[in-house]
Amino acid sequence: MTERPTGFDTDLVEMITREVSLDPSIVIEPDTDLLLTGLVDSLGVVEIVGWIEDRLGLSVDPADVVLEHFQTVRLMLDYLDRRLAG
Amino acid sequence: MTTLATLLADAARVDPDTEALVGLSRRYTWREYDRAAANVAAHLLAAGVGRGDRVAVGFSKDARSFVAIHGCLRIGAIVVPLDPMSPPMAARSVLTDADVAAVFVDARRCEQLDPWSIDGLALRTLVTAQPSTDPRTAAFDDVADRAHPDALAALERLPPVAADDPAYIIFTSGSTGRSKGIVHTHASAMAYAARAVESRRLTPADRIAGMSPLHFDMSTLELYAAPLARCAVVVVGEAHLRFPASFTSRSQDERVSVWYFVPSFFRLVTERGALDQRDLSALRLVMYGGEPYAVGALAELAAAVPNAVIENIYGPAEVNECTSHVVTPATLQGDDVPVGLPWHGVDLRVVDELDGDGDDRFVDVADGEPGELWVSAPTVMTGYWRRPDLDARSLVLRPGGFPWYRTGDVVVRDPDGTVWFRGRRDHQVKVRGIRLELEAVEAVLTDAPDVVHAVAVPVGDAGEAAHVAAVVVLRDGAALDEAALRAFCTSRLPAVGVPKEFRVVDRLPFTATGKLDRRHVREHFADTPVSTSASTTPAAGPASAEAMEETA
Repeated sequence: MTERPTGFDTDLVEMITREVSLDPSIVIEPDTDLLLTGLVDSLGVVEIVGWIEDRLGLSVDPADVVLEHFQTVRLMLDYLDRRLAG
Repeated sequence: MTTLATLLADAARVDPDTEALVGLSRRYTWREYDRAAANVAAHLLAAGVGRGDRVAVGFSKDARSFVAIHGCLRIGAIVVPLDPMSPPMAARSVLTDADVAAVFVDARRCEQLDPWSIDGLALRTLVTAQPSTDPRTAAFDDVADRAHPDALAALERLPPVAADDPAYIIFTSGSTGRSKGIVHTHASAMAYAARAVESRRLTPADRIAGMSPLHFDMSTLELYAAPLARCAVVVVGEAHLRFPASFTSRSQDERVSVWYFVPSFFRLVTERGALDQRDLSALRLVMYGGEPYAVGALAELAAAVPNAVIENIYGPAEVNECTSHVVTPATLQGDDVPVGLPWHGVDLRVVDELDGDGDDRFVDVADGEPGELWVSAPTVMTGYWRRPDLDARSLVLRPGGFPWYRTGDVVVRDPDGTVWFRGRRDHQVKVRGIRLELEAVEAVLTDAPDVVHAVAVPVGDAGEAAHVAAVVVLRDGAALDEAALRAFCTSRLPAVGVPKEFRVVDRLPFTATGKLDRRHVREHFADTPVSTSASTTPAAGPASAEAMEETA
C-alpha cells in the first residue's frame, strides 16, 4: 500500500487554481464543484489527469476519468487513495 | 398546420406512458412532459406573459430546460435560449436586446445576473431551478409540478398559435460585439423537424442523446424533431461533455441510438471515451456538424463506432440544416468530406459577386468553381431580431419562394450536385497575392500525425498576408517535429499555404458551443510573432529547407 506524498492535496489545488481554472480568483475548496461553476473545461480535465499521473507515477485508465472521480478535489483524492491502496 | 405548441400534446395522446425525456435526476413520460409544460404555460399566462413576448431560458442543461421551452411555445411566447455559461455582461445584453418578459435560470446564475435590476426590462416573472429566498422569484418545481385550475382553464381557451408566429430566437455574438438574434417561426422549425424525422427515419424506438447546448441550433433535433417522432431524449449535461468517458457510459446505460454534435467533441470521445470498454450496440447514427472533421480523425471515429452510420450535416443557424452527406468507406479515402446534397425542398445557388450595385451583380458560377452558397428553403429564418441592416445584407427576396439566405460560406458544387465546403468568405485571405482558405490549411494540419487541433493565422496585413503561421495542439506526449510537419503540408498545400512558423500550445479556446474559437486565436496572434523558430533564420544553414519549400 502506497500513500499520497505529503502536501499532494494542497499542490493539486494550487495547480488547478493556477494552471487550469478559468477564473483563478475563485477559491477552490475540497467540495467545490469544478464543473457546475464552469471553472474547468475538457482540456483542463486532461491537464489535471496528466499532472496527477506525473506526480504519482501511475496511469489513469480513460474509463476512470469520469464525473464520479473528478467533479471535486475531494472526489479526486478519494479515487487516488483507492488506487494507491489497490 | 401543426406547430411546436402542440407537439407534446400530440405525442402524449398517442404514447402517454412511454418514456419521453430522461433528465439527469428525473424521468418523464410523454404525458408527464406534456403536463409539466402545460403547467409552465399556465404560470406564464397567469403572470401576464403572452403571445409574442420573449422568454429567456438559461438553466444549466437538464430536463427542466426542455419543459420550460415547450411551456413558452404553448402560449405563443418566443423562446430565447440563454447560454448558461456566458459571461454575465453578455447574458445581460441578450436579455436587454430581446427585451424579455420572463427569465428561467439557475439560482446561482440569477444572483449573478440579477435580472430584476436590469434597466428598461419589464420582467413579469422569474423562475429559478432551485428554491430562492426572494419572494418575487418562483421555484421551477413549484411551477412545473402543479398549476391553478383557473390558469389551466385559461390556457385551454387560448387561440391556437399560428405557423407564422416567431417561435425562438438564437442569439450569437456578432464580430463587433453587438448580438445578432436569428428569428425562426413555428413553420420554419416544423419544416426542419419534419425533414429530420423523415431523412433520419427517426421512430419511437430511437433514443437521442440531448448533447447540444440549447442556444445552439443543433438542439432543434432534440427539442422538436424528437417529440415529432416520439423518440426519447437522454439529456447529456455540460459536465458529461467534459468527461467523454462519462458521456459514453451514459450512452451505454441509456441505450442511446443517435448522437449529434461537433467534431471537436467527438475527437475527445475517440481519444478518451474508453470506447473499447463500452457497449454501444444501440448506437445506429452519429451526426456531426458545425465545423469540418479532418478525414483521419473521422476514420478513427468510424472505426470506434462500427455499427453506426456517420453523417455530416451542414447548415448555418439561419437556415438550420440544408445539406448532408453519409460517410462511406470511399469518403474516408478522400482528402475532404463533402457537405453533400441538399434536402428536398431546398434550392441552392453558388454565386459570384461582380462589381456594381444592381441585383445583376450576382452571377451563378459554373460547376467546380468556388462561389458563395445561397440557400432558399422552408427552414430559412424570417430575419434577424430588430436588425434590418443585417437583413438587407443577408436576405435576398425571391418572388414566389422562400428568400435566399447568403451564407457567407464559400463552396464548390460538383456536376452531380454534391457541395464541398471551402471556407468562410471572411476567412479567405490573400497571401502574397494568392487567394487562400485558412480552413484548408487547418484541415491538412489536423490530418498530420500528432496534431489534435490547429489554427492557421495570417501574418502581416489582413488583406494581404506575408505568410501563414500555425498554432497547434499536439497529442499528449508528442513533440513538435517542425520539418516533418512542414513536409506533410508541403505535399498537400499550395506553397503559400504551408505555414512558415509553428507554435505549440497546450490548449486552445473553445466557443460556448464547443467549437474551436479560431477567430479568438487569430486575433490573439495577429499582432505578435507566433514564434521565431523559422522566420528569422538566415537562408543558409539548417533553415535551407525553408528556401527549398519556397520553390516547391
